[in-house]
Amino acid sequence: MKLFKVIFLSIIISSPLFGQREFKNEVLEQAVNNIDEFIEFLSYPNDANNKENIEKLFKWTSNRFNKLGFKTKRLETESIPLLLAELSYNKDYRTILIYLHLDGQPVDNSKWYQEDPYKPVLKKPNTNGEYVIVDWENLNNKTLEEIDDENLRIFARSASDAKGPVMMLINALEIVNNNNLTPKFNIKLIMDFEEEKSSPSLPSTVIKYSDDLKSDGLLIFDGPQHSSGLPTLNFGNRGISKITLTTYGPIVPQHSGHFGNYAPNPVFRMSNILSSMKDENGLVLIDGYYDGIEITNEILEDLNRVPDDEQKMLSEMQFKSPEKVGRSYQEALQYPSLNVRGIQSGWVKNEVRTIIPSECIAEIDIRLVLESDGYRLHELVRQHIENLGYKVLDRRPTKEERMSYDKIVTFDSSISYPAFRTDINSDLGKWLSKSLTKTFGKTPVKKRTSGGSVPISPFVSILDIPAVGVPTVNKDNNQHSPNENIKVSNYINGIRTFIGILSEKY
Amino acid sequence: MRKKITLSIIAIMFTINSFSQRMYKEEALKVGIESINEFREFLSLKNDANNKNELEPLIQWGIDNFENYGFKVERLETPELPLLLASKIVSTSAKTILIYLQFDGQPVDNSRWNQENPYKAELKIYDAGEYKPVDWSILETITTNNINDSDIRIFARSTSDAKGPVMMLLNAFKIMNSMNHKLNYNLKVIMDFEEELGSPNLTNAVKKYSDKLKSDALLIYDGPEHPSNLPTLEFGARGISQITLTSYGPIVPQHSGHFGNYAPNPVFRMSEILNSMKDKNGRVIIDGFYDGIDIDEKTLKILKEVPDDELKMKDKMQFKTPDDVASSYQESIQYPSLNVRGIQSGWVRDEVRTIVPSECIAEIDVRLVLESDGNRLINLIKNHIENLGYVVLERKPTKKERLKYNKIITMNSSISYDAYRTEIDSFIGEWLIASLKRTFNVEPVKIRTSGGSVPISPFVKILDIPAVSVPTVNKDNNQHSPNENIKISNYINGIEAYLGILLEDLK
Repeated sequence: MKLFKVIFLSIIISSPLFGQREFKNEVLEQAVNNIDEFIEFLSYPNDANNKENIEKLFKWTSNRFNKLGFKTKRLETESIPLLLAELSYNKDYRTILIYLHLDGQPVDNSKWYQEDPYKPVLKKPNTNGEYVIVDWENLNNKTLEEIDDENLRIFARSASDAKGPVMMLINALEIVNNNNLTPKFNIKLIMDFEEEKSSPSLPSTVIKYSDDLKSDGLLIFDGPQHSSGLPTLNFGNRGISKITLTTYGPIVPQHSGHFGNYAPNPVFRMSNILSSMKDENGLVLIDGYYDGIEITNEILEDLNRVPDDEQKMLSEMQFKSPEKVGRSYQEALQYPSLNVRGIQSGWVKNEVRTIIPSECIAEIDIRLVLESDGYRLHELVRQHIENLGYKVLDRRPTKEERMSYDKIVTFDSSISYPAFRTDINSDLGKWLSKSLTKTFGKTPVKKRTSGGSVPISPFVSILDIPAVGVPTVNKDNNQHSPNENIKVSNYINGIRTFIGILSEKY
Repeated sequence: MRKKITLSIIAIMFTINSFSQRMYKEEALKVGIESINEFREFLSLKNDANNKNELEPLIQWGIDNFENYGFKVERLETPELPLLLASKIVSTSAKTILIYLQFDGQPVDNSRWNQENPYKAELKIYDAGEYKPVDWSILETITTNNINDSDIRIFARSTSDAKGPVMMLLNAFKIMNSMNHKLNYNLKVIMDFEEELGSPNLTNAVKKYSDKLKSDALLIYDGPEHPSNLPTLEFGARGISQITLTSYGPIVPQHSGHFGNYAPNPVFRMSEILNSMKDKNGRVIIDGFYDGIDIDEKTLKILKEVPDDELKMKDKMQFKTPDDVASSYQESIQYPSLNVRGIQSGWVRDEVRTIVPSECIAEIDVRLVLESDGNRLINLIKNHIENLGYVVLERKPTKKERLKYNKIITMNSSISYDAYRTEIDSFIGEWLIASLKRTFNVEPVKIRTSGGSVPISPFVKILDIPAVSVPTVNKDNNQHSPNENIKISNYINGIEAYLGILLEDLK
């Protein structure tokens, strides 16, 4: 109790000391002085296909958090272990669980404009807008605004996704420690080393170690900020599920001259199915597809507060009108999608052959929202195809089936992860919003649902805790692509964000 | 006149009897088997027209062999490979037949052949489910009685398509010489060395050399017989035209999570277009697409005479019901087709990515019939797409256009060759039917239109002559694929067929 008071007092005292300007400068200094550690961290290859490399990174990370006072535990799984780090300040405090991931997408060196994606370089745009390598010294003696204006960026695999946020957190913890700013909540970090492989062992691990992971709220330190570059909170993500459809023509491709007008064409079959699913404005026509979703006025206000520049989005993506599922981009994301990711049959362009193809494959993904159970949607899609007169199988048809049914489709489906959503006005939401507002002097962008999918629903459903994403990296970071990068200003502001959260009482 | 006809009828009846059904069976077998070494040598000459400088020995072989049989051979130069024209004029008052032969072959991928070298012929016999190599000496045991007992084939590139028919014709000359028969009509043979490339120089060459090519009818010695293996005549072939459609989504693929429900998907656009073109039974529902085609009773009868085994066809291709364009396979070929040869957008299977694709490409081919002008059909399709609310361009849209129109399609089209069709009761048709009947003592299969397309419309149009194909090789010859082959029995039958035509009176 006494201790509590003392600490409380010290925060009050230190608060003015850490008023926005000073805070900013201290973070800038720490970040620049400590850039070598970030460079070292980025130089650890982290493609989860290489377990040896992952093991080295795992050790480095474990040691680093030990140094910061965390107790670490290796959570063995069937594939790659997870790392749990725990720092308990007071058993009466509530506990915040933070999700980090350390592995990265595979690299294709030849497509990078630098020697090695695991050898970070500092770049800035020249007058033609091309990023050219500059000396690291360019970071010295600059203000945060200058760094931002010069658009200095660190290029390396995982600079943004998601070693950047890990290093931001390490720096934030250092600064908090150096300034005796003891957080008012206990911290658990769960570190994933196979996120880019869709975290195959995560659900079973969360169940197995649910006692170790027990906490009151989950923060996800991953992903890009809103494109406005404003501080952002992400209160939900759509889930993702997949359907592969295959239609059939002749058993092997046939000469289109000899059999055109005779052998049924699987592309026309597939077109029949796909075109029946949506109207020309992109609205799904399958009965019951959008059931259960209600956008109240209150929700609409939350959605409308997101400062999207849709004109710019349209101009960048070069299309006139978006699909009309929602009245705005944010509203569209509150609904499940039905997207054809790919379609293929026969050959095109230089490889074109005068044939009737033997089959046509369409790969569909359905992004799920909280109200849409994936199994229910898949069943609706299946029923819909059956109502068109198709025999729907979950495997290839036998010859006997091919000879007995005119319209056959193979339907393979799986649900990767469901959606999650935390109330913007929940305790966790209000606490984070307050923290970000204090740090940056402006209200953060609050996204009710982000369109993409993250594998954190096991935490939400198994641990029964709310979750919020705190994205910090620049939107144009080339995540999952060659020439991934992080803006140095985002890196520094990310540290500020995390310090703000660590120093805000929960 | 009447007397003459009666006489020749009697003569035909007489010959059929005296040759115990097949007139030239023994001679064709003897000479055919003797010619195998020569055929093997011919097959060893490289003939992939993509490698132009390799083809000179092949061209020279053509010149030498036709000169050997008393033809005057000329090189008809084109910007690429020449055509050869071999002529034998017996009388300026006689009719002239032009025969089209093809010397070049499809490219080869050695690794996919079940033999060392596709240009080194191998003899194989069908045994226990596979073709097994067998010594060439086995050919000496073949008689006219046992030729159909076993399935013996020569495997090499162009055995069937179409060095085989060239060799058959040369053998027919040889037998004719040894029998001391003389041609009773003028014969011209045009030899194409770029057929597998789509005969890019043929049209211009036919125009340029139309005087030299002047003749009364064209015979095409290429292609497989009807699957029944009966002597076959093809009186027409569908033409072919191509359309490539491209629909558009976002300018580059977008993350399907972030933009699913927002960025328009080009696959749904394409599906809408394709689905609107045909009903669920495969019939084109574009207004006017089948206009002008009238299958009358007489035509229907001809189509029905073709001994197709449609149950077997469906069983082999493994589908229940064919497209509902017409009441039979033969009838369906009398109509233009609209086929999607390929469609592609985004990635599938192992390469699948969670994106909204940026474009979708559909490759269409429209097979043409005599009644359907290709330009008219392509225009109907264009109008149809416009009626769906699309702006139809011939190139990729600009950014300005993309931001101005929701529904944009790029449509590129071309017509490769037109259809042709010769009346079955034309002079050339009746003459060929009579010849095959006389040679084989069986009614030939008469195909009004073959589904596939051949580049001979320049002859038909420019020279204004009727054309008929006389296909001789086995249907299952793996044409255009690895392990191309010709059945020995087809090789022998082909010699008989061509010999019969050489000897047939043409007035």
